[in-house]
Amino acid sequence: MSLLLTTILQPSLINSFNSKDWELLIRQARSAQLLSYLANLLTIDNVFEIPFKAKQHLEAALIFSKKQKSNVTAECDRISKILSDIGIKSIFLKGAAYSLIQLPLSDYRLLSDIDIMINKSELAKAENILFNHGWFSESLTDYDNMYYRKWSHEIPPLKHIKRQTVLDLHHNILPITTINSHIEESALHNNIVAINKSQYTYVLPSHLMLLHSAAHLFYESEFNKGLRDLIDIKELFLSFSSGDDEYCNKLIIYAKELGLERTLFYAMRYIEQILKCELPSNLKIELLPFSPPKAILFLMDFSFKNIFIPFHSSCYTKRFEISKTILYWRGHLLRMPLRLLVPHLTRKFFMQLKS
Amino acid sequence: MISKEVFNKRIKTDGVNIELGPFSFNIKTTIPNAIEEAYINYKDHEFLDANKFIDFHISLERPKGIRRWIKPNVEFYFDGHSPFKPLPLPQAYPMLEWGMNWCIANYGHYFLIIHAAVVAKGNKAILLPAPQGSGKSTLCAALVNSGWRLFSDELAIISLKDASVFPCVRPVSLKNESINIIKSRFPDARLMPSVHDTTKGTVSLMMPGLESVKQGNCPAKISAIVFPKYQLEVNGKFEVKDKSQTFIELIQNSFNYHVISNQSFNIAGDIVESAYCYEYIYSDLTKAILDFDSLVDLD
Amino acid sequence: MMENITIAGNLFIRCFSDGVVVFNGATGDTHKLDVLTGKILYYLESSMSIDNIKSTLEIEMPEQSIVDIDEYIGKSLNMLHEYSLVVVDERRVE
Repeated sequence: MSLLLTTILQPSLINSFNSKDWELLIRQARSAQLLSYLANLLTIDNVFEIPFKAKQHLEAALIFSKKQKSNVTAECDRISKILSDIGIKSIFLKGAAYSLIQLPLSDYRLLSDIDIMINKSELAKAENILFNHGWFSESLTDYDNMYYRKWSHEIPPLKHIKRQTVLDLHHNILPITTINSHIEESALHNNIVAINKSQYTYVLPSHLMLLHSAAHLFYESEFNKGLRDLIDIKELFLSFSSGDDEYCNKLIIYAKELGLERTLFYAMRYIEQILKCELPSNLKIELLPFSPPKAILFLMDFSFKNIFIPFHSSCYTKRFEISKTILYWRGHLLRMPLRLLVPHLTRKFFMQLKS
Repeated sequence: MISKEVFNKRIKTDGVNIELGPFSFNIKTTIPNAIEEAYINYKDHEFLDANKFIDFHISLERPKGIRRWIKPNVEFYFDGHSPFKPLPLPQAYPMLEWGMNWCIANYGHYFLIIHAAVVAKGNKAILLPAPQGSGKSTLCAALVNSGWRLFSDELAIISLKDASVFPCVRPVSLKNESINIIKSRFPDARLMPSVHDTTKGTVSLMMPGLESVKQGNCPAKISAIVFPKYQLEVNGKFEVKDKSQTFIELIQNSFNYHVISNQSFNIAGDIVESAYCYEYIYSDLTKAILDFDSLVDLD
Repeated sequence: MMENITIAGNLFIRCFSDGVVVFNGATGDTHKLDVLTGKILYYLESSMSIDNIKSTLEIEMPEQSIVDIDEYIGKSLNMLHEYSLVVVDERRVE
């Protein structure tokens, strides 16, 4: 287990750290995009004594994430106002959504972009009006452009010309070509929750929010933010289930409705086993039928237990490299059938060679 | 002072640990010209033991594959992450310096960091905020060769606790014409070979004097904020600048004022309140040196 | 006509002899104000009413006419409003 994860699970360990331990902890946390999360964990209530140099880095991370959060909230407001002018509802996803509903996690979580879901029929209109307000498509090759629009569930990311914020517009949460899942667009759009009194800023309801994060993570092929995303799921689960006795039931029901049973199974399994999150026993019972066959479970356990690490030189092992390869292919195959995947990856390989 | 053999061995393996004012860097590379220049610039600095906390782990690496041989490039890494596009191999050492600036400006939010040169006499520091092309590096180089301490030619590192400024003694970056100006005016100045065709034109790094390096850990109070303006054929003079305007221009030159918010507002206010604020319009370096000398003597 | 003036929350103000700088914690913007506007903001922040501010300025600036002072206050409030440092809510009183 990495020093970072060990410390997150048992913060009091820092009392025995020397300078080099602190240094490694901070480096791993930074690589995993978890430095402000760690900083909050270790400095809250001033329980621990932290050496001067390490403290500086933790404080810098907190300053940065606090500032970013207020930027994000302001940006979300601007974007949803622009889209509401032409009657489009903005459904914020992932990090931006966590900020909008004031999840405690959001104070210490860094975002690289803002994710919104809108109706597929509204994508063109949205792209147009955002363009008028300074949001431009980052220059991509024609191929990437086509890939995004045709096969993925996004148009290419938009960047604000002045503020440099990146905006991802989605019309579904997984690529069109995803094999197993049959997530219906309407199932998502019909269930949205309005934020405050505004009629133009929405998020998914709490059970869908977790399922979305889980889908996002367990259909991934690149896991450099994997540990961070897994922690998100744990925090979402703890926050939502504590205030809602029906929460676990809702998770099960909607997982079935959206074809995300396997995804939910993995999400709960790994927040329990890797992040030591306590799960209610009846939830675990209900999840059992969602388990894959034993052989696959064995392979997945191996892969996921070795992938949720800081992507830092101090953590790379042979097992990690193997897991990375397995999950890379798994993610791609899940999102795109082989007949399309091979030419896609071959094309990308040659393009990388050229540059 | 570290020996060349030890330095060369370390920088290629575990890296060399250098203390630069309030920041420490572990630097690794196997690129020969970068090692050579790093040694010349940092041999007199404080080297830290292997068991000390290091703030930033950086390295310069040559990309694998075809760009290793055809139009060879160099990449800068901050702890395994490459934030910039690769540059041509001859620019390896300047890239290291720019990379170090980047680390400080992006992760040093426990200081208010202003794009400015800082020089000092005794424990009185003068801040020279100015955008690129304003002549501040030339002026800074001239002062530093005339008895002034170099804190930095690029980054004013200001404590959020008490507004004191910290040195971060590194080479002064001279560009284009100022290279010849300094070379001819100060023949004893130690300049590295010029590197051409960078995004900033021709660049030559001037090594800081030994005194500046020795006092590399001593902060100072900011006694004056001076905005230099180079103009042809003027008689150099200080013009008093409104404090409120100084404040605005100071924060406009800051890398992280907006990140730190109200804390940085208060500290910037403290600095402007207690410092003399001027514009200095000049064309002659000799006069400039005299004028700056009298500025600190006045106090 | 009555004016209801609400000052933005979370402001940080610093006065220099030649001007005032203010940081708006909510928007993250920093502004420079002339001495008079800065003074008015400062008084507003200490919950002084516009009428009180008027009277205070009339005493502080005896060389200015009341009409001029009214004009200055109007201009300053405009600037503060533009910078989102205050919100001026005009209501007509019968």
